[in-house]
Amino acid sequence: MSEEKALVTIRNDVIHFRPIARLKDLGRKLDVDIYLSYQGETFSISSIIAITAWELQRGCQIEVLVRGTGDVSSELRTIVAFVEGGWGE
Amino acid sequence: MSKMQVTGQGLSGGLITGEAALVQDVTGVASDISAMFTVAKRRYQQYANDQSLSTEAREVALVYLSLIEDPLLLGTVQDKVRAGVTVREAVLATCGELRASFEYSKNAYLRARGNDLLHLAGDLLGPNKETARGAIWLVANLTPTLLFSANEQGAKGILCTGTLPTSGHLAILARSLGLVVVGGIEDIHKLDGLVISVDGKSGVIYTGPTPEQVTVNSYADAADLPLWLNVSSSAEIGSTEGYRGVGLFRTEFIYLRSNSIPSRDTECEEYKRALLAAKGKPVVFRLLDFGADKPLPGSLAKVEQNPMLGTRGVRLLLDEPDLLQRQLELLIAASPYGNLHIMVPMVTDVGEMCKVRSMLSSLGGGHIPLGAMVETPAAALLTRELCSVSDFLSLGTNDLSAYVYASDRMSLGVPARGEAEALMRLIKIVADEAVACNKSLGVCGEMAADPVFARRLIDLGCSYLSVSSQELSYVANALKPRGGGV
Repeated sequence: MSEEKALVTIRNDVIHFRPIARLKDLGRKLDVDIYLSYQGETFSISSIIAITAWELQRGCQIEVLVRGTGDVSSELRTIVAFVEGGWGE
Repeated sequence: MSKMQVTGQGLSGGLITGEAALVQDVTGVASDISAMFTVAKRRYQQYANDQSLSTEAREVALVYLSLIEDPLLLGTVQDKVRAGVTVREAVLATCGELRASFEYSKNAYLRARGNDLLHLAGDLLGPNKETARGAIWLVANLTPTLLFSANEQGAKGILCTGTLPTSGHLAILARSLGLVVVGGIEDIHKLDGLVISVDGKSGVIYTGPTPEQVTVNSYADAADLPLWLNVSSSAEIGSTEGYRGVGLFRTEFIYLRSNSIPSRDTECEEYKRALLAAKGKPVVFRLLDFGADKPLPGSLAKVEQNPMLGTRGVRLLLDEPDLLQRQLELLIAASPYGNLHIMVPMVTDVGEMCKVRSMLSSLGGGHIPLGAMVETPAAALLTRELCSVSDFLSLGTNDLSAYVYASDRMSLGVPARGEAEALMRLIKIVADEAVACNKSLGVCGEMAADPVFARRLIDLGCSYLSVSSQELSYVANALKPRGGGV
């Protein structure tokens, strides 16, 4: 198990259930655990309700932590690109 | 036959006639919490992986799957049951409390998302039963599973008791599955077993087929009406009939679908496919309309304080001339395959049109008709000047309405009937100038698909209305000459 993290800025108007569900699905496909931190709170990507309640908006900065057994830094890059690219919106 | 008319909340458009059937038993009680969650989870998983469903429908299933898997939901239900509450009450209370936490959000979009939790509670608790194909379902509480199973079982539509946000997930899901849905109907059990007609747009329900319904079904020559099509892909053109042209091809969706810049071949192929699918009818390709709610993909994206008023449409393209040149080259390359037109989004002055035209000509596309979108008050007021540098005009009523009323289109949408006086007056200025200059003026936007506005827009002198494929037959009906045709 290894982990890597990165700071990412939100570019979407607002992050709601659907983008988070997509990121969770991406984590499932990459076979990694994803944790998001914002303003001192950290949740697993499974906590879709709590993360939505952060009301992340354009300009908010979150920390993305990826934990897995494979090439974690490559998977982190994929995930950061997904978040920076607008969470599939 | 004695007739009855009821009006509810139109959530997902279309005209249907069929037998109404009550399907939901609202008193279902589940005894085992984890079994209940597992069953719901398996169902959503199946829908999320079902390749025969649209991407949008699968994504909505993914949202509910993720909510079911959220440890907070199961944990809270279990805590309540341990504290002595029944399972049913625990599920309802948990989803109700979680929903309430969204009600105070400053963001209207997030406030509406809280409803997803109520739909989820309904799904966890409410069993449903089999009905005949072609039935119109009557349900007390609409849930995502009910929508999916209505689709599977060949139902035409659903009537439900509560009202729902029109931009919420259930409405999105209903539209993407092509189901007609009307909410806000009291005493649905009174309709059980009756043959009813439902207008999913206006929310009106009649017992028995309506005169309009009879004629829309037998309306043979929709191609005589000035109806054009709005699409986001070439596939939509191939699967639609009864339109005169494609009034809006949203080219940015080629980029948004791949979430990056597609290869030149991919992009050009999509243009060719669209032209071939239209079989010689005009296809109006709107140049990449990025900015506002559709930021540029990947590394090109810019963070803006106020994107609705930021660098978007043609402003953005002139800032990124390489992107504009690339797209014009690919459109020119595709042009021999059909009747290609190009339309420029978010124009605010004549100079922008001149710059695009000069680039188009210098690349060898001087023969291609080039039009300006009138979707800013500036463009509307400069219609006469824009006519002198454009081959055609097209009203984009969604943005025009937002900029006229200074109100976000998600929260306002089409102004309520009778409240659109300012917008209609501005449109009249545009239409009068376009008619005087003998230029074609299309309309693409929600207004074109609203029966009241559709008629007024044509009366004002608009040349054609461009609407989505789902709305085509509905607007055809609205525009059909009244009297004598029934």
